[in-house]
Amino acid sequence: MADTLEFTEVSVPAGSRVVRTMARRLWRLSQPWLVLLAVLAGWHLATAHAWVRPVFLPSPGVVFATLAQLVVSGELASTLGTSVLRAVVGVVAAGIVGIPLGFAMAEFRVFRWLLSPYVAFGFPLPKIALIPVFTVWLGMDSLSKIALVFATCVFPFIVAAESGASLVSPKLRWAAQSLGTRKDALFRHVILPATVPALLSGVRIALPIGLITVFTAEMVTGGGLGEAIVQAQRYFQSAQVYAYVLVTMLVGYLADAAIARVQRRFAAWAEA
Amino acid sequence: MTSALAARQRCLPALTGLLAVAVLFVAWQAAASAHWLADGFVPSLADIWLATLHLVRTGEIGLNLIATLRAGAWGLAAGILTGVPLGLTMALLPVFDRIVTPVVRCTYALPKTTLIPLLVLWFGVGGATNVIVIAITAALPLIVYSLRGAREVPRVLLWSARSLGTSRAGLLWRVVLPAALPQILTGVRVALGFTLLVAISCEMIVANQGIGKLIGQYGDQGSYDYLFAALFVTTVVAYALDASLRWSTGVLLRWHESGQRVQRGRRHG
Repeated sequence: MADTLEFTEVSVPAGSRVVRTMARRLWRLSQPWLVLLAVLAGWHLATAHAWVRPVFLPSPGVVFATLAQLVVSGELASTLGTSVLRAVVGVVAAGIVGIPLGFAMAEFRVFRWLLSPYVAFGFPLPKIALIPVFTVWLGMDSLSKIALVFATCVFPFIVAAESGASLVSPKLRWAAQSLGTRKDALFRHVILPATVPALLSGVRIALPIGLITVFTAEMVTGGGLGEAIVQAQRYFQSAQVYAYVLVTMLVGYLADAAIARVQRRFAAWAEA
Repeated sequence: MTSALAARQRCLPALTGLLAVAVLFVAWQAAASAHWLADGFVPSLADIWLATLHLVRTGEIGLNLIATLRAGAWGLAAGILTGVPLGLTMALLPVFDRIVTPVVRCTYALPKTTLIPLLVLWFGVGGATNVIVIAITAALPLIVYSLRGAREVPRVLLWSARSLGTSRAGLLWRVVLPAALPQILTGVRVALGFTLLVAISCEMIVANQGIGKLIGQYGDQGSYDYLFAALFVTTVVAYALDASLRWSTGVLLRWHESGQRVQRGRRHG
């Protein structure tokens, strides 16, 4: 807003105004990349001048070469694919179970009374502590990890659906009901659309937790990217550790950005 | 009569809730003593209770719980002390906001436990690594919530404070911070959840003490009664922490709620 105000002052010759506008636009566009550039420059300097030992911090070139090698050999695709698939299946299952439960808790007192103690204790319980239990019950393989992701993510979904549905304005319900809307139509046309923003924020909370859970479980009991990263660290292959951390950062960022996009598309009206 | 009705309305959900939990526990105990569940995999509640008593008596649970809570408290405190000022500054200085936002975006959804192997390279196995991972995890929601809270401060408040001659620092401390407090406290609650999750995860991956270590160890040994005992104690502690945070939030925000109520009353009256 401040910029547009300054642009209206016309006392400057046209040519230099264009240059200034360009410079300002360039500065604005470059701002988000400044920190990244600074980090890369600092990283490069630190390794080029041997301020730190390569075991602690390999040079950017080495890390990116390792990353490229992991991509080309297909190793990354297989480990990352395993992890992400587990996370996605777990989160989707949690949504399928958690969202209806949340709605049921908001709409029917019986469900609320029966389930709220479980939610009250289940929500704060650090589900990650269940890793050994789930491993014993469901094995070392994917099933136990998916179940763990499910257990972690189902509570955010329940809470999001419940709070979203119980925050629907009673006036909306009354208005719809007085127009003769039946219970199922009320749910489909009033409650569900009104809850979409809450549900999407639920997804945005659940997905990172799901990713944390999968990677942690894999670090403890093996398989997927979690195991790969622990193995790399154990054998002091620092370049691989850094490469994997960069990958997980990218995965988290892309996942979050995707949900943010969906939120802007379908829940933009809730921002106002 | 109305008070009796209110009391009944308050008690009935609680009773039904207790009943729901009791049904689960009775079913669990019955299934365990009838050997429907694989022996040892799902210990009976009686065994878990005995294990809990043993863990409490030997001080094993106490020591490890204290270790976990200490790491969590340091990490959360560091997260609050860095996250809140960062978020508030981002709200007040747009340039700073544009520079820092990409970093926050990249790290917000990063599964923070993958940083552990990296930090182990730097800080070794032990306290510092866990505290740093917890601090990073806690700082991010606090940045986001403080930013949101500070952005929602009504302009009118800022203008009136400015026109009364409040300095920039005073504006931050006496107007923006209190006005953003409800959001910040929501952030603290989110961060607390992450803190426990990450603290225990860290301990399961690298640590020589703490609840996570205890649980991992009993899992490896196959002593599932002890494992469940540790798990139940953790759940109760986590619930108590969350409840006390909610309670203190209520106390801290009394002015806020009451202020709103006074305002609303005036508008309608």
